[in-house]
Amino acid sequence: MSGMSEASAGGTDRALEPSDGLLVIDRLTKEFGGLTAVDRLSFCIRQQEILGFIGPNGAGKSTVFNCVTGVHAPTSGTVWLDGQEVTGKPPHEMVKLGLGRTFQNFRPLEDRPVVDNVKLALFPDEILSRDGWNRDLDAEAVAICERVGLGEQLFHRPSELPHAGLLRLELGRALATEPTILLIDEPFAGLANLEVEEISKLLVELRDDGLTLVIVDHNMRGLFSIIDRAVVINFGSFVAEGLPAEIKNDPKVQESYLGGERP
Amino acid sequence: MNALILSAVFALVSLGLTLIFSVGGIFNLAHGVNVTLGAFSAWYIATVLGYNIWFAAVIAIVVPAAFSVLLYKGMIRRIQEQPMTVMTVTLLVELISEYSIREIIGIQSRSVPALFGGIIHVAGATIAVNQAAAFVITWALIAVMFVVFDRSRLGKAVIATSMSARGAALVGIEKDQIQLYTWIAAGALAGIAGLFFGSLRTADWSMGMNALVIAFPIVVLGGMGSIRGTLIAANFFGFLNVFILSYSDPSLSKIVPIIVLILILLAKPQGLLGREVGA
Amino acid sequence: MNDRLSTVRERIASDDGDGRLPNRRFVVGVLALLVLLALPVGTGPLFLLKMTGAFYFAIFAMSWDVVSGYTGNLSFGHSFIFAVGGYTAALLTLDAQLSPVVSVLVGVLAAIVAGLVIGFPALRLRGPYFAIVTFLLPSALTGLFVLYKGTFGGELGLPSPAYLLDMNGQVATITANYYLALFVFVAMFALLFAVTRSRIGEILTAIRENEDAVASSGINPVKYKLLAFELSAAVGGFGAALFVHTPIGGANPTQLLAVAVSINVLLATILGGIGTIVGPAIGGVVFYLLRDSLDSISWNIPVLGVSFSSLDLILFSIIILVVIYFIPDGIVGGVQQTARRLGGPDEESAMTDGGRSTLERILTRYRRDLEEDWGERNE
Repeated sequence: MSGMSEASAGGTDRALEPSDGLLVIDRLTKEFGGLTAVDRLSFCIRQQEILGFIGPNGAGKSTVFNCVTGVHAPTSGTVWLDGQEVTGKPPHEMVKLGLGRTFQNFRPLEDRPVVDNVKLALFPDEILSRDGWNRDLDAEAVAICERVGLGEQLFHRPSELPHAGLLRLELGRALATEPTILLIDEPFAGLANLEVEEISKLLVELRDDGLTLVIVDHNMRGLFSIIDRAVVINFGSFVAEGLPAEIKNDPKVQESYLGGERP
Repeated sequence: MNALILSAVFALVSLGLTLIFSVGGIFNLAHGVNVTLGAFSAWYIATVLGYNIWFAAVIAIVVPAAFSVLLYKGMIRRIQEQPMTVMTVTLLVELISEYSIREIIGIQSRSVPALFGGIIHVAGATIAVNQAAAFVITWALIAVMFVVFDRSRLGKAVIATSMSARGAALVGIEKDQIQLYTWIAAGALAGIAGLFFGSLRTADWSMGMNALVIAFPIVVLGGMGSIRGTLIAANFFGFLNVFILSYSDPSLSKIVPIIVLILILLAKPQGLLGREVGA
Repeated sequence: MNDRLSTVRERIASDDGDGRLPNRRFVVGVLALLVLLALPVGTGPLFLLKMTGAFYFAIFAMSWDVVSGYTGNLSFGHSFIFAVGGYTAALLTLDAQLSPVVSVLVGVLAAIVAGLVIGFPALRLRGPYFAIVTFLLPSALTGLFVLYKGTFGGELGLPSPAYLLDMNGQVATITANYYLALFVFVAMFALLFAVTRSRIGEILTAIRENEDAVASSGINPVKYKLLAFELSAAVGGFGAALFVHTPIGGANPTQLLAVAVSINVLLATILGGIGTIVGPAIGGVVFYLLRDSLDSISWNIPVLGVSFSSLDLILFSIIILVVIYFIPDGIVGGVQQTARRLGGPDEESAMTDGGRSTLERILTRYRRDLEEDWGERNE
């Protein structure tokens, strides 16, 4: 389809439409006081792909994330999820609509064990629902914990988990909300190579099970092998988009990184 | 004119609060005690013991300042890492002092003698010299505060500490010392405010709480930690207060600031000139 | 998977006290209840009156805990709620000549509305701001009551409305009111206990711990915070509305609106164990009785030639001040362990806790909130 290649073009080429992908971001702009953190950024994410969202530190990746997931309201621009406009909706609503996310600085509930952390994310958001049927949720919570590799740490407190464990917990909590698309914020930071491999494997498995993934990172080291496509931003603006190999060799991208990895 | 004096007196009380928060990150709910101490020590020295009012005025500054130092060094310094504990403890102190004053002085209001007697004519109006003096003195004090913060080394040290204690330490400024100064200043200023409250109006056992009830909205509205904001808010409430007093019952003056505060906080949680909450 | 699952189910079962061996704490509770029921037999009307007051105070404390202990936003002016509930009920009985029962119901409604008044701004304010705003609210109400002295009775309050239970003779009335208070105390405790141990309670404590984590779990925190407020307002207002219709209570600033009331529920709950419902229940009663017992010590200080009638209050406040100051977590920790063993939610997890009490969590979150808003301030 000739439309495909145009649809995958980001930047400020043309206005995107809701049907261009599962998650479509059109000319997103975010200003804080006098500072423009995100500048007319457009790109889309297609069903069941793993998209890498890349940029050096300070490029605005987290801000974009936060605007999409409802933490901030964008100054302008539109966000469509599965054809429906969702710009500016609060975080809990975005989650209910199927947009899950993890936090880079891990925010588990420290006052309860792993399995209860996941169980909370399974709760329906209704006050007057049929209460007390904890049994079913228990089974689900245990299943999810096992899925993300925390089967042996069900009763550990988050403070007892290693870094990779906390990441798994984040994934587990996000999965419990039954997302159709999952935004993962810098998962590989602080992980050893073996752990990176294991997590990568898990992510691919999740995608193969039907999930769409957007992974944010500041370099491609960990992502290269698992992403289908990449979008690169810098200074809040679109830089490049395309297949990993293309991106790696893109002069604009290399320029953004000044010829090497930024700290 | 009345409004201006009132605004200045409010400002004196509020500045102390905002300073302490700015540098220490804590709310001193016992700040009202400074006002009460200022008023009543002046009254006691001048009326009960019969000494010169100017001597009483000096006492009105020294006593609350000393109290603040004691409070800070004796209690607050050790728990300052826990703002909520500080709030609870200072509230208790406030309560204790309220009970004590009520016991010792009783529930009648007292009057602090004027610093100056007589009247003068200014621009066709007749005002008490005391009032005019209050006006001049309070605004002069505020101006001094401004200059101190803008120009002097001490002032800059305070601002530096309020922004970053660690950074300030790097250039040799000791947070503890700076904090001590702010507590002294807060106590002294509030004491002067109490003195004027006592002579221009009256002093009674509940004046500490009443002062807090006005000062906190001012401080929150002006933006916690912003001196300029505090001054603007103080003027706002000063004028509002006078307006209310001239058109209706004085008791209304206790209610309005809080309602205004809630309404404004609903619209703008950081206050008027608060620090920007960034991304 | 299956044996993991059964481990999880076991944990929950032991938490529920699921019909196997009666829980130790449950037994203690029942024993205490039996003692309280039999109390009139062994003691005189004066003590029963005190206990009545203690029960109502404990109800106030429990209502405070629902908001402050469970959402983590410490309210410094909860007397606002009590006053709205109590005064409304008293006014209706006195001026509108309604039956006390009806007045009480309307009083509860009024308190629920007041809960919305606090609730809505509160939902947008962070902890420290919330504390200040709630701190100021009762003063506003006092101002209103003084302003319209004719209607509200000013600083002295309203005269005593008819009792809910008025029998022949003073002793009978006092005893009847005692049982009423006990009944309501147990009922409110049961209600709040049930709610806070349910899924709703789990969500509330999660909100207290980390509101963003809750939002990202697809749960709207605002809804639940509002629920906590309204529950608190309903219980507190109910307690106050009843309270004014008893021999020991009346609609006046001293008992319902003073700063002392607000801070006493805070202190009693913290000392008893914040965030547990059991804590304020026990702590409330004990705190009230302790303070009352100091009353009976009358002092005469010759130096100033004045007899201190409020010395007990001053003394008591100083004692509490010392306790809170020197051992803010110590005594709390100790009492909390006891309260936990008697019925806290995270009992068995105390082992792997790392020892952080609920109070510590709340205090830490306050610091975090302040720091987030105002930037780095302390080393």
